[in-house]
Parts: sequence; C-alpha cells; structure tokens
Amino acid sequence: MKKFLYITAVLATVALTSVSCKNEVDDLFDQSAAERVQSAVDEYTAVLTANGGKWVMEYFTTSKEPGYIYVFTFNADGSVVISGKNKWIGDVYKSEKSLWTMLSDNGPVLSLNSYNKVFHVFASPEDIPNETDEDPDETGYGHSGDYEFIFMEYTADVVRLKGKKYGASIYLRRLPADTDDKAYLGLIDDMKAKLFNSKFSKLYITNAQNERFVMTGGVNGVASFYPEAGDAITQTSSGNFIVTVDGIRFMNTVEIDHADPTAEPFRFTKFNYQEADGSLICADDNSTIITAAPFSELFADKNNTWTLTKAKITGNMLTLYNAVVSECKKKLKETFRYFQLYYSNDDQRFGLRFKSGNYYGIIFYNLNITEDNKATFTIDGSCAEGTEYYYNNLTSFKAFCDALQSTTWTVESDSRLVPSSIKFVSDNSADDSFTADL
Amino acid sequence: MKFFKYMSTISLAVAALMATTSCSDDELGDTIFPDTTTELDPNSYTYKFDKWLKQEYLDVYNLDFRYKMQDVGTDMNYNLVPAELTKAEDLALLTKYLWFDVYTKVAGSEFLKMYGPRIIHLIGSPAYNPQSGTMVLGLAEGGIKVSLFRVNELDNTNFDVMNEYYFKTMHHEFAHILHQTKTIPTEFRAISNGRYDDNNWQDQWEPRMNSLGMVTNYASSQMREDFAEVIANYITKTDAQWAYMLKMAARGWESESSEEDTSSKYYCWYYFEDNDAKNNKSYAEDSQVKEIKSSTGEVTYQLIDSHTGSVVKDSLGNPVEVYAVVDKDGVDGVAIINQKVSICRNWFKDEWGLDLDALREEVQTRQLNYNMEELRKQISDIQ
Repeated sequence: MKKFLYITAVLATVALTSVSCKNEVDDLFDQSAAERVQSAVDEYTAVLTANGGKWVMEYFTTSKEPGYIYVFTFNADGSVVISGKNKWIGDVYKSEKSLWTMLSDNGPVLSLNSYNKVFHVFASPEDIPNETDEDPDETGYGHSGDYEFIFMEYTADVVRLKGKKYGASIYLRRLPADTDDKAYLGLIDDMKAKLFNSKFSKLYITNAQNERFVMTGGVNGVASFYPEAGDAITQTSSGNFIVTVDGIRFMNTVEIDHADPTAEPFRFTKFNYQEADGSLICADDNSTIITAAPFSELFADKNNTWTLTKAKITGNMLTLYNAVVSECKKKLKETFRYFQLYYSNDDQRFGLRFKSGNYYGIIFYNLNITEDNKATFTIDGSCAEGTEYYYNNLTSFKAFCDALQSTTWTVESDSRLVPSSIKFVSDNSADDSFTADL
Repeated sequence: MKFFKYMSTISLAVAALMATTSCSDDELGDTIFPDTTTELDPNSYTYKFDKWLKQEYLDVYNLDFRYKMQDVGTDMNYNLVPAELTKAEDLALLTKYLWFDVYTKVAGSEFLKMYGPRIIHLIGSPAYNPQSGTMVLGLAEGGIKVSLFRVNELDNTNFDVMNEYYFKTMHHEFAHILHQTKTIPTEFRAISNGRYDDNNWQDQWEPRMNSLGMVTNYASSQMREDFAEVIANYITKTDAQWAYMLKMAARGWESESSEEDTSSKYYCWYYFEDNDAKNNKSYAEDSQVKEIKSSTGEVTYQLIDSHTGSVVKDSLGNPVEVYAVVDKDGVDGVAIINQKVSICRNWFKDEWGLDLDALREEVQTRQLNYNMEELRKQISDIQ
C-alpha cells in the first residue's frame, strides 16, 4: 500500500507541476486571425483600386442564362462606376455610380452595397419579365444573381470571385486605366456579331479526330450540344457562356457525349476567336473549332435565299449581268432587280430566281459543292411556269446561266461562323466572281 | 475498501491543490480584433451623408442607421438587394422629420433615446413570400432593430405610397417595439379574439375587414399586428382616409360567386331587383350607385350606368330602386375600431405618458407640409 501511495504522490506531483500557468505562448503567427482577415481586406482593396481601378467583370447568374460583361471602375473613396449593356437594362449602354466595400463577413468579400440600376437587376427578387408574362408570379428569386462576391484568388490582373449566395464563378480582369467603358462594350457587341447570327442557328464543333458535334442556341448564349452521329434527344447537353473580347467562355466546363455514349465525354470551357477565318478555336486543346455548316449545307438549306449583290459581281460575270439589265430594259421596258439563289417550295426545286419589273422568274439549277469548297452549277434550261419566255427569248439570261455552269467556282467566306456573304470565284479566271449575300 | 478511501483522500487533496493553483489574474491583453473605429474619412464618397447620420442619429439617439445593406442582418432565405444611395438619403431625412422629430416634439428628447430602435436597416427590395403572395415591408426585431424594405421604390412626390410603404411601416414597427416593452392591454386582446386568420388575411377584401372591426387586412392576421396597425394607421391616415375607412366599416356586406368562377366571392353592399338573376337580385358596387339625401335626411340610392353616367331606369321609365345591403355580420365595425383606438390612446397615455392624438396631429401636419429640397440641404450643407 505504501508503494501505491508513493506512486500516487509522485503522479500527483507530476500532474501538479504540469498544470502550471503560462499566459505566454510562442506566437505561431505574427497577427491574430481577425487582423489577418483585415489585412487581407486591405490588400484586396488595394488590388482593386490600383492602376486606375478599371476591370472587366465576366458575370454569371445561373446556368439558365448567358453571362454578361460589365466594366467596373473601383475608386478609393468607396464609389464604383459600373457600365453595362444587356437586354435587362434596355439593350443600351448605361453607366452609374454606386458604392462598394470589402467586407470580412465570409472571408474577404467584395460587396456592391448600394443599389446600382445597371448591375443589381440580376440580384433583385422581382420576377424575370417576359413577353407572355402579363401577371408576374413573384417567386422572390428573380435571376438569382449575386451582388456580393468572395475573393477566391488573384493575381495583379485577374481576380477570381465566387458569388456569396449562389456561388457562380466570376472573373475580374484588369483593363488599362484609360479604357473607355462604352467603347469596350462596343467591342463585345462587335464580337457577338462576328460569332452568332440567328440565320446560322446550327453550328458545328469539329474536334481533332474530325468528329462533329451540333451546337444550337449560340445566339442566346445558352447552347445545346449533341454528337452529329448520336441521338439528338437523349444525348443533348447544354452550356451557357459569355462573349468576351477574345471569344466565348462557358460558365462551367461543358461535357458532351460522343456518339458512343460509353466513351469518356468530350469537354471544353473556352474558345478564342480566330480573326484569320472567323472561327472559334478551343483554348483547351487548340484544335477543336466551331464553324457554321459547310457551304454545301448552307446552299442546300431550303430556308436560305442568297442575293447576288450587283456591287460584288466582277469581271465577265458583271458584263453578263449588265447585259441582262440592258436587255430587260430594251426589249421589255422592265427594270431588272436581282438574281437570287432560291428554293421554290411550289416547284420543290432550287432555282436562280430573278425579278424584272414586277415579274418573278425562276430558272432551275443544281448546285454541287465539294468538301474542298469547289462548286459547280448544272442548268438544263428548265424553268418555272412563265419564265421560259425570258430564258428562250432574252439571250442574256441564257448567257448568264451558261457562264455559271461553264466553270468550277471556288467558294469562300470571311467568316466561318457567320458566312452571310459567300464569294464564288471562277477557277478559270480569278477576275470573274460573284457574291451571294444572305 | 481502504484502498478506495485512500484514493478518495488523495484525489480530493490533488483536486484541492489544483483548484488553488489557479492562474494569476494578469491584465487582459489587447483585443485580437483590429481597431476599426476610425473617424469618418472626409475623402469618402458618402462623407456628408455619414456625418449627417452620425450627428442626427448616432450621437443623439445612439442609433446606427444602416443604409449599406448587410445581408447577414437579413433573413438569408430572401433574395434582397441594397438601397439606392439617393433613396436612402431621402428616407433618412424623412424618417427623422416624420418620426424622430415628431416623438421628440411630443414626448420629449429622452423618449426615443430610451425606447427608440438602436438600428434602422434599409433594404432596397421587398421580401417576397411566394407561397402566400405577400411581401414584407418592415420588421421590428427584438425591440432593437427596424428593417425597412422596398426603399428603391421611394417616390417622394407620392405621399400615400410613401405612407403605405415606409412611414406607416415605421410607426407600425415602433408600436411593436413599444408593446415588446410594455404589454398590450388585456382588453385589446379580447375584442377581436377568434376573428384573426394568420393564413388567409391577404386574401380578404379590406372594406369587409373594416366592417369586422379591423383597420386593414393585415390587422386581421394576429392580435399584435392588429394593435400595431391601429396605432400606425391612426397616426398616418389623413382625416379623409380615416373617415372613408370608418364608412366602409359601417356598411353591410353580402358575397356572391361569379358565373365564371364559383369559388370567387365578391362582397357587395348594394342590390336591386333583377328577375333574371339568382335570387332575383343583382349587386352593385360603390361606384355604380349615387346616394340621394332628401330634405328630411332620408337616404335613397340610384343605379348609375357606368358607361353613360346616366341613371338606369326600369321598363316603365322609373329609376331602378337600389337598396343598401343590411349589415348582418353581427359586428359593429365602427364601434370596434373606435374602441381599439381608445384602448391604444389610453395605453399611450397611461404606460408612456404620451398623447396619441397629439402625435397624430403632428404627423398629419408634417406629412402634408414638407419640402424635400429643403430637407436635402441638411446633408448637402454639411462641411
């Protein structure tokens, strides 16, 4: 028992000595947690206001709508100028000054804490209006966009933010201090016009393996995709994107099924615009491109009507065109208006439609365009009812048609995404050309 | 057994030693939080407004007027946006003019220092409740904080709307703060007991609620909302608005279903004989009826054609006889509303030493005589 008591006493002594008080502990950090957060707030404030405080924000709400470009100017006095142009603020350029601050309520948080009519529309709870919505049923969520953003990471020129409430990933990219907000947003409009047009609603994504995927809805900023050789119903996926001065960036990485649904999906996030041919090339693999349909498909589309613009006809073709104009005037006292490449629903055939005076005539043709963009016309003289008179009695019409089918044409366009103006250049003589405008 | 006795003794001794080996009572060190209580920055974009708020609210009433929305101070289930700066400035000026200055004048400068809210929080949007189709206009939280919503719709040229969205709301929320300090009189609790409906108040027709002794639809939701609504409406409604509400409270009502939607109920207060209609009578709304008072004070009614404005006549060329619906709900709406006002008046007097009618008179005078440009100078003239 004595031994037990001895051991117990020793243990108690050891325990007591180890319960010594020590207010001083070695500092693992040179600042308290709160001070570190505050210094981060100060640091991020300095980042945003540095070099003129001018940034472009690539703003997203949810995956249901496109991203929106805003230009921000963060001032050290706590004010911020926000400029934008999108359908929710009337599709006109608007700019307004409001307030901003860096909070520390959820880590460093950028808060746009006074209402700005140009920007806060996406965070408002009001129902999103639409044309059929006469009596909005307020759900209280609106666009479900954020106006407060957690600072996730930054470099001197790029800040990655995360919406505090809805969590969308949003980027700020530094702009030169002398950037003109309106001019910058004009560049975005220019880019949109280069990339998407409702007349080319169906685009193709072609990857390095020459596999094609269909893309629709690009003009809305919320696109759908499916493998061309796959199932358009069960294999459709979607992705919303923002148009930037460089091209497009999707809100999240898009995953598309291959025709074989068991294969690893095809993924991409960003495409850059290629000025040289007007296509979009994938920034992820530098190979995959987005283009409109091939020329053969465009001219086989029964909804498309292409007008041969006189000002863009050259060489012998212009001579022949002028002969048509003269002969109509001379023999028929009619003013010749135009030729069009046209699909006649009545006749179920493609034809060279023209208008002379008040008369519409159609001379049928077949057009073959190969993969290497070589086009040949075949015209056998068959015409829509009533047009035979023009073809048989006005020699200039037949001469023009003969010229069309007498050569192989090389077909080209400045834009592979919006080929609304397609030039046909004769392989016999580069001086002979015409342009079909959609 | 002995073993355990020893153990107990030793344990007690160790415990006693440990207890006496307490830490020394060193001074607490500096706060771990950075000092953010800095002076207002004259270079700040909002310096003049901030200084005015400090002078007029913080220094006087110890009140933090938060116009830069803090979502952590809101119910995060709602989607809300901040207030617009210029709207916040106007509302801060009007709040002082129509609320704080009124109480200071009628109740003395100490009253709001004692009982006023410590925080006013402005929020730009409404807070929608999609399931009930309602929206929150104001909140009084813990007797400390008043949140005002829908600030971005402030139109300082439309006083009726301003009253509805903000000033009535302020007095309503302040009434909550007051009754959270001194309880609502028992007699008030008993008056409309059993007539409150917290789930369907928003679907009721307000004039019908008036006839049941409620000053508004919202008053019919809960007793405590009734109490706050009586006070807020009595203070802010003009004489004409109050008289109209009492007129509605005096009317009789009948309901009918429309042919298109049998579930709908329309509460009508005039009828005329109509052989083609259900129960041989059709109803007319207030706007369709003209009141004729004879020299003896007898009141009769004529039906007016809403398209032509002329008196509707029967097949014999006589004006169609119109009758007022008899008030059969068994509730004297006017008497009940007056009784509620009387209880509130006495409660203000007995519990707070305040004259509710004097408050009303001061608010009425001010809300009909204010100059926004003049008020704005209080901020713009700040140096």
